Amino acid sequence: MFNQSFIALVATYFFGIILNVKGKKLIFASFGGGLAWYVYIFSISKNIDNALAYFLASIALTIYSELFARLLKTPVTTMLIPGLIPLVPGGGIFYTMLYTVQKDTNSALFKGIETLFAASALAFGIVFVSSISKIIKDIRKGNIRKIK
Amino acid sequence: MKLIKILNVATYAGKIMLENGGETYRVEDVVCKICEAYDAEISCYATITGIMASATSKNGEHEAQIIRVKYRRINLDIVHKINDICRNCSQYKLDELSIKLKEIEIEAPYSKYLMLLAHAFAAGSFTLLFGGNFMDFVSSSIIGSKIFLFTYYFSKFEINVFFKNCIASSILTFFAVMYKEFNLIDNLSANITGILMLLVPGMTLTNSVRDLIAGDYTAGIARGVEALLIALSLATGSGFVLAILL
Repeated sequence: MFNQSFIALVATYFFGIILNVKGKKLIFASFGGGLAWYVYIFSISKNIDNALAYFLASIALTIYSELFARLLKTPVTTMLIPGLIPLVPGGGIFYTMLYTVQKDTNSALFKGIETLFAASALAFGIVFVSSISKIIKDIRKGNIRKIK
Repeated sequence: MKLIKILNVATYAGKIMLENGGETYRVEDVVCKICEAYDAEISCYATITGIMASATSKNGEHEAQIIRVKYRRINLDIVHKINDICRNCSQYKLDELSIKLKEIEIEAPYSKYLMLLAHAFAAGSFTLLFGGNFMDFVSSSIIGSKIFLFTYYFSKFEINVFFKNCIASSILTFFAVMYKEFNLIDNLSANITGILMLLVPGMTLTNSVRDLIAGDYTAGIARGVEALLIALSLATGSGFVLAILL
């Protein structure tokens, strides 16, 4: 599992270069990618459902990104986008198409739905953590709407 | 200080950010912050293809500006730098700020050769991650660099991302299948998936979700549809080649 996470870390590092992330941010962003993949693989090895594993990994990654974005004074996306790349279900897209071409409609539908669920799980992980972090930010700034 | 000048600098900062992959709510935020730092009241509305802003000064002047953004690329370093500058923009005079923004805009990204290497090794590492061996790593690195060369020279034409991604994914599938035919690789799907990761719309997906959270539904849905269409065009491109060759 550690080997795999390390490969994910390296992949995220190179993808960070493609996205033009520079300096210290690149290092921290690639650790985010490694962390996200570790959580995903760990959840899979504990027999957790695929979509839920994506959700957990996305939550872990978003917490990490929100924390380090504040430490490094950079937009959250600089940390979040490179780290999320290993999780994006590119495999799902390919297998859906492969099964469709092989006229295996059952597997194609299964893979397609799995891909859709994985992407939604990633999205909801981000929504979940970002909303909570916004609540914390508002409370700390005293920026709370009064209810009449 | 002239109001139109303030508005020009503010929307210019917003435009650079939008062109380089900032979320739209952050673009609106940047425009508003710069105007407020120079004592102008502002309301700003941004979508993924344009910025509209109107400002009112304290003595009742009124100005409006519309910026159309046509080209978009990805450079997160520029997003970071503009965000950084606008956090403490009240330190600078307006002319200084404008010069600084121009400097950021023309700042060179990573060089072409480093990009080539990064594409090659990213594709290779993803192939390893999805269960490839050393030969798969080598072959997908080679194909990954081909994909970079293709997108690099293709970006000179003004062509939509869907067509570009469709062609790129059919090229990569074609080469991977050819390598498989000549028995250079054993794991075809790890190869194709690994290289496909270079093209997946991860950035669009993330930005779409973050825009939706911030309540920017127009931009969020537009980006979401873009991500979906890119994914479909990738599937179409590789499926087309697979259907012919397999």
